[in-house]
Amino acid sequence: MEARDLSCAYDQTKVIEHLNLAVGRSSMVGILGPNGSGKTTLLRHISAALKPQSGVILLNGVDVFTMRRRMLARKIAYVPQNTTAEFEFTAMDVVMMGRIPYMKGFQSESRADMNAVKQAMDMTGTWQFRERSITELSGGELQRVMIARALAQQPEILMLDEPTAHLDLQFQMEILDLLRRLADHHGLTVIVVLHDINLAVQFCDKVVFMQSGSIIADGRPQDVITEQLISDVYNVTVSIWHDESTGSICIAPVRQPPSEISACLKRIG
Amino acid sequence: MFSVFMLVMVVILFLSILLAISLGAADIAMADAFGVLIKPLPVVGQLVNVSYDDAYYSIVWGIRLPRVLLAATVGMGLAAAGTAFQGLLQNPMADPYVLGVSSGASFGATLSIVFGIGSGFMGLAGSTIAAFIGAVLTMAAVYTLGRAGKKSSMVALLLAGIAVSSFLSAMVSFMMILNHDKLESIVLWTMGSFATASWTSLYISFPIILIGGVVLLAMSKEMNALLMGDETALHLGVDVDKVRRLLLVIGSIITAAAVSVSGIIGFVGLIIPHVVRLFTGPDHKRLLPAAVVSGAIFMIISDTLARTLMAPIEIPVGIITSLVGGPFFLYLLVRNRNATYRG
Repeated sequence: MEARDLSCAYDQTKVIEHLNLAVGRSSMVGILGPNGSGKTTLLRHISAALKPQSGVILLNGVDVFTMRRRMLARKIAYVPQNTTAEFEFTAMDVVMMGRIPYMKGFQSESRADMNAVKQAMDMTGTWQFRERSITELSGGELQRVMIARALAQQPEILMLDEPTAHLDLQFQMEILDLLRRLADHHGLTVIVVLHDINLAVQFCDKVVFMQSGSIIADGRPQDVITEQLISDVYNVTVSIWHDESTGSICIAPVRQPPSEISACLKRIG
Repeated sequence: MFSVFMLVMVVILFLSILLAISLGAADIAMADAFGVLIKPLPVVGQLVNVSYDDAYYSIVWGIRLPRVLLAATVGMGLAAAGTAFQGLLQNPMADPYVLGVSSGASFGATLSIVFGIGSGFMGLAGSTIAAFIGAVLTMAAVYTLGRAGKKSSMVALLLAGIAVSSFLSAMVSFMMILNHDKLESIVLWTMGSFATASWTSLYISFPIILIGGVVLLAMSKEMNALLMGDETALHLGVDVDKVRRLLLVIGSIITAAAVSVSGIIGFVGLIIPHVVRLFTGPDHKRLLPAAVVSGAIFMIISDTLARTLMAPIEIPVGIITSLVGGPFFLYLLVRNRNATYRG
């Protein structure tokens, strides 16, 4: 997957400008950046939900915008932010929706569809509550069902927009462990928007930092993450050290002395 | 499980058709009604040896059967359209009339009543044709206005529907004031009735509603995906805009076909999908067929009550559907307090 010179705008406001990004097969890429930096917009371009002003998104060398929706849905699956369960579908019904790109009209579920659903639910550990209504599931269970639905599409690329938001630490680790396994053992390319830099560092092969619609840094976490970068992107002072127990770098924000904050506020006016 | 449920519903549908045919000014035993129904059929008719009063034949085939079947057809159409509108607008208050189709039909019918436009065409009443044209034109107007803004949002569409609908209702009221002598027929039309049912109106409305219903059923997977949100539906390969447009047009045409042969029968398209959803869940593959059959049953029973309760006076069937349907729906809501609206 690669984005070439991608630009887009809502009305007159540029949201993404001349962005270039290449993502290799079966890797896990974390997209980070402050709110409003264009992370979700980038994902929506990759899946051709938005039409770019200029530039193209290529999937195996083919422009995604020229592909038929159904065909694209077999290649790219997307788990949106803030999934809510308002309707009393069973978990299995929801995962079976992942087979919509493979079914037409009155065609009912084939054996292949059933197998794909079973496999997706096994991988995510959701098979056990397949008969339960999604309105009764906890946040972590619901998120796993949504990932199972995406997996039932048997995609090459799995994109997730803040899949760990609103989840407690245990569920966050479970979801990221699952994504890591999918990349390692099932050949999936995982593109995931994350807020927690420390988790991204531990799980992602590659991190992409965005700011105001541009990519500021892009590479292996230990190579690109510096105190300077975080300060540039988030406008926050951090301390970074190598942590023996996790085997990767660790980041902690440093609280500003009160005097500096007031000086800063004065400058802003 | 579901197929058993559907089988039971279909059996109830046939029984209610039979019951409705046997009830009326001339009471016909259900067995006789069955015999009269089955006699003209090839093969089967030869197998059974029934004797009945010849007068029954013309009552059943000439008067009651077309009326009962038309009620069933309209009930099916309103239930199907209501299900589609609630799903695609993701709004529990949506019914087949929400986009102004009914007001357009009333306006058309009122014009034809006031100006006495023709005796109709091919045996159809003038008001039927005028109502259908009014409904289709209104749908086109609402749809165009609803998309006039920058984005085609469902909210814009709903607002356009409400605006056009109140404008046309005001026009209808205005014409009623100006034409006191026609007041009663206009009011009766807007309350809905199957009193003028004929084979012709059935031949016209049934194919439209049947084809529309089949197309809706073919799109039930897409409707399910829409319930999960536009973003998710899009990424499941559903062309959200195209599917919405198609659902709107088909739902409106079904409604137009139903309304033009029966007038404005309220409540059926709103509550039948809700009630059925309590039993089938939100999956349109089950919800839609179950709603269609339930709508037919409900309408047959309502119309039978309408013509027998105060016979020889006919109560407009729209009054019955709301009088019976309202409390029943409230009862279900209270019983399933935690399942008020789940899709």
